[in-house]
Parts: sequence; structure tokens; C-alpha cells
Amino acid sequence: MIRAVGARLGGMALTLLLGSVIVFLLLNALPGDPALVMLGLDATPDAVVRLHHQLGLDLPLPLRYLRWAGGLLTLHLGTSLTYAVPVSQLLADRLRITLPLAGITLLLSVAIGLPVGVAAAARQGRVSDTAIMVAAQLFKAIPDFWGGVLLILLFALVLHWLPSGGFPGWEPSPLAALRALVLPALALALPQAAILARFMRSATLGALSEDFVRTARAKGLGTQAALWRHAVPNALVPVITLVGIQFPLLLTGTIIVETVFDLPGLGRLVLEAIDQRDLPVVQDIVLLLVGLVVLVNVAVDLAALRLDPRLGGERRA
Amino acid sequence: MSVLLEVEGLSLRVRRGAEYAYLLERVGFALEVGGTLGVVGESGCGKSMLALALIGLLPRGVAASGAVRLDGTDLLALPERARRATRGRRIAMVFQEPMRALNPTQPIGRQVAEGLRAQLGLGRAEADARARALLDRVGLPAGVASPHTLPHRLSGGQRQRVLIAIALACEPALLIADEFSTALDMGTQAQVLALLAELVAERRMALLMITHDLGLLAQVCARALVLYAGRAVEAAPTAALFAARRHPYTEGLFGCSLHAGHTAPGTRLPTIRGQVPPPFARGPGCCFAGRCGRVEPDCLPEQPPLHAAGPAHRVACLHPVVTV
Repeated sequence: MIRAVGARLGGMALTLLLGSVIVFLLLNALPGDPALVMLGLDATPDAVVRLHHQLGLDLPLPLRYLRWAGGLLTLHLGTSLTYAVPVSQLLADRLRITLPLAGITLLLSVAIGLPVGVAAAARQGRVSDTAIMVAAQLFKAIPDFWGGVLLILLFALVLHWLPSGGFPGWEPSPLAALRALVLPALALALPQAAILARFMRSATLGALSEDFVRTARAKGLGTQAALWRHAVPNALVPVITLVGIQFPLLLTGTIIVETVFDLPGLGRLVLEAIDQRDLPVVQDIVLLLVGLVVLVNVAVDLAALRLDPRLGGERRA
Repeated sequence: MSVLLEVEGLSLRVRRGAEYAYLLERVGFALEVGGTLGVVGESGCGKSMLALALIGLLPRGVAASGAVRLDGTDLLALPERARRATRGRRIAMVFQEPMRALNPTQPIGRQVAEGLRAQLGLGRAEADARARALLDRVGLPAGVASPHTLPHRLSGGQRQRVLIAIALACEPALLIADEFSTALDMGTQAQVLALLAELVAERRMALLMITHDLGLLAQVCARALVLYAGRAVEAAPTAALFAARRHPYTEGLFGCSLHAGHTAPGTRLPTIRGQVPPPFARGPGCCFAGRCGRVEPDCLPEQPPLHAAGPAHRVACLHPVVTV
């Protein structure tokens, strides 16, 4: 296990290195000069040159990359061009919303999707199974932003149970802050849960038809015990991997949902920063997202390894 | 000897649209305490379905009728709860495909202990201790495999030993072995088989062995039941069957198997021409008529009943093979 963790952390470092190069090249190859955006359309060429020098944009690309990457390693993330505050402070503020949002969404989608999928598999072919799968198909097809609007209509405007948007901050009342995150997390989690449910259903059905489930039944285990102790743990292995694959979609979803629910999170920040050609901010956020995705996938890998030790290599035929 | 298992008129029916078909049709036999019975026949004759019907794990959509009496109690009439109490406890089963019959994500000790906990209500520590002893007994002592070993670290023969330990755990009265060693190489097969025979004798268990391997039949089983297309076509003591086959199907089956090693190079191996008719394509007459060399017009209108053809020897054929 320790070796497996080490190997994956090494892979993670390599991915981040490659990711940083790609992010840097892509963003610097994009059209749009931050200096022009900052100075406005009537900027004099002289002013543009001076600003370029000030921002370090006149340096050769490799040098600019090394400056950025070196900064990252020493946790000096640079300064936002538009907000004139350290990027680290900006990120910290926004992460306080987006990280809990992504966490709650991940939890909700797993907590809804997996049991629903297992329940459908256990009722294969019955009306309830079909009903669950039709509902899942429906939720899967609803785009985050539209689902978000529907949830606002129902829970905020009709039932008045939850706020329709905005974020009161964590300090005055953590509970109020959490309540503000419920609807956006649901809007994001429902389509994810639907995908997980469908996948979990077919994985569970596959596991149920395995010989070892029959062995378990022949020992005298009931259908439920055979399902939960034997079929589900085996079905979880591919599904957990899917959670990792879905996570980037979840992160991009936060960008849209934060806009719909008017949450000042990371997603909103990255949209604004792109609009303003705020290169340091965009670079850092994109790399941060890469880091989050890689981290979640390492966690998912280790969870799958724990569930199915055969994945650890050194197989025997 | 007292009778342990009595199967009477056991039929298994499946439905397709408005049609019905029989996977097993009025099969009957008896097995004494500590007795051994081999069920032979080609694939598709209903051997595995018979095993699943006995242990009560038929796939959905297969309806059983008739009687399966264990110590006088008709298992088919029991509610699922009571039926489950017999699984593992009174009737246990060793499955084919040892590679797939063990849960790949669970240590073997736990898989052995699980039945003990479920059926005998043992606590964790006691079940684990018994599981370890069972693994020792089936030839997997501490040096070879620990209870924490995962199935993928074991060879096919070792996995088969674990499956035997699982089946023996609650000391059942009847053990069903379904093609249980066909996935193993010859040497391993012999070892595992010897172990199984030894354990069955030691614990006075009755053994119902499903096989298409006549060598195995001869080695292990005192009696034999030949199934063809869901029907019992011949039943006899194994020795009598080896001495003289009466049903043309049994004769064909033995011909394919026993002479296979004695065929001169360049000549064709003996076969039974044609295939087992699938359940929905079986007519009213003798089910073997379409492949039989001895077929006469009177074979076609109805299924020939089993009748006596020697001491404890019964055959379902109007024109049985006569050997001198």
C-alpha cells in the first residue's frame, strides 16, 4: 500500500509538471494582450511597452515559464492584474466556497447515485427498476443551469425552504452558508448521481451474475447478504473509477452553477479573469483545477486498490 | 441403509411466450446416507439445472414441480426462509470454475467463515478458528495459504480446495459437486478428487456428482444416472453400467469416451451424431430417436417409460442394446 501511494504521488507530480507546461503555453498562445485590456483602447504604444516590461511580458517564454513555475513552488502565486491583490489571497477567498460546494456535490452524487443503482439492480425487470432508470435518464439529460433554475423555482420561490442565491459568508452563520450551498450542490449532483446510478446498476447486475454470488447463496446467505457483501463491493471498483473520471465535469459545472446561484466562487473568478486577460489568475486557477482533479483521481485509485487488491499489480495467473 | 434424498417426478419448466418447455421431465432417484451417485450426460441435458433445483437456487423463470425429499421433508414445498436454512447446512455444493466461484475481493478465510456464521450462528473468533482448521484439512496449511490470502494468489487446485472447505464448513449431509474438477489439469484433478472422496467417506456425507467424465464416475460413484434431454434414460450401479449399457445413448456416450484412447491414428474418433435437442424443440416420442441408430416406428409416438433391465438397472428404451 505504501509503495502504491508513493508511485501515485510520483505520477501526480509528473502530471502537474506537464500540466503546468501545457497550461502556460496555451494561455500565452491565446490572442489578447493583458496590457491592452488594462490600458484601454486609446493606450499609447509607449505605455503598452512600459506595462509589458512591468508585467514581465517582454521576457522570452521559457524565462516567463520558469518565473511562474518557480513562484508556484515557493508559493508566490503572483499578483492579479485586475484586482491588484496577491493571487493566493484571491484563491483562498474563492476556495472557501468552491471547495465545500464541490465536496458536498461529490458526497451527494455518491450518496444518491450508488444506493439508487443498487436498488434498481436488485429489482431488475420490475416496474420500480424501470421507473428508477427512466428518472435517472431524465436527470442525466437536465443541464446544470436549467436544473438549477428549476430548483430555485421550487425550493426558494414556491416553498421558501432555501435561499435562491448569493452567499452570506461563513463567519456570521456557518449554517446559513451551508444552506446557501444546498441548492447549487443539488443542481450539480443530480445529473452526476443519475450517471452513477445507471453505471452502478449495470455493474451490480454484472456482479450478481458472477459465480461467487451463487457460491455465497449456496452457503446459506440470503439475497440481501449476497448482494451487499459480495456483489456490491465488486461492483464498486469500476464505479469508483468513474467518480474520478466525472470529477473534472463536476468542477466545470461549478463555473456554471456559481453563475446561476450568484456565488462568488472559483468558477466565477475564472470566468472574470479570462474576460479581463488576467493571466496570472487564470494560469494559477487552471493549474489548481488540474491539481484537484489529479488529487481526486489518486484518492479514487487508492480506494479502488483497497476494494480490489488485485489492482496492485503482481498478479498471478 | 436409510434414504437421505428422494427425488420424485422432478420437472423443471420454462416459459417462452405461450409455450412451455421442460429442462427436466419427471426425473426421479434416491440416494442413501453416505451414498454416491453420478449424474452423467452431455452439456444441455439438464445436469446443472438438477443440481440447482436440489439446492434451491434455480434461475428466475424456471418453475420446479414434483418432490425433492431430504430426510422425508419435501424441500420444494418449503418457504424460502426454511429452504435457505438447509443451504450449506444440510445440502452444500462445490461449483465448477474455481477461478470464478470465489469472491476475488475477499480473503479466503472470511469466505470459509461466512457460512459458519450465517448457518451455525458462530461468533467471529470461533468461525475464524474453524475456518483455519478447515483450510488445514483441505490441504492449505499455514505455510501454503493463510486465511488472509486473496483468491488470485492461489492456483486453480488450491481454489478448488477452498471451495471444498466452504462446502464442508457446516458438515452437510449431502454434497453436490457440479463438474467440479473439469477446469483443472489431470494431476491436480486427481489430487483434489482424492481429497473429496476421502472427506466424503470420513464425514459420511452423501455425494451427488455431476460429470461428463466417465473415468471420474467409475472412480467415485457407486451408482449412475444417465440424463438425456432432461429425462432419465438409464439408472444402474456404476459397475453394471460399465459391464453392459442398455440405452443406445449411454452406449454412445461410453463409446465416445472409453474408446477415444484406443483409436488407431488416422481413423475418426467415435461420436454420437447430431446434438441434444434444445428444450423448445423436443417432440412427444423418445428424445433420442433423432440420433439413434436403433430407432423403430414405435419409438416416435410417446416417451418410453423406465423399466427394469437387470438387478437395480433401469432403462427407458423400447429396443435396448443387448450385449453378450
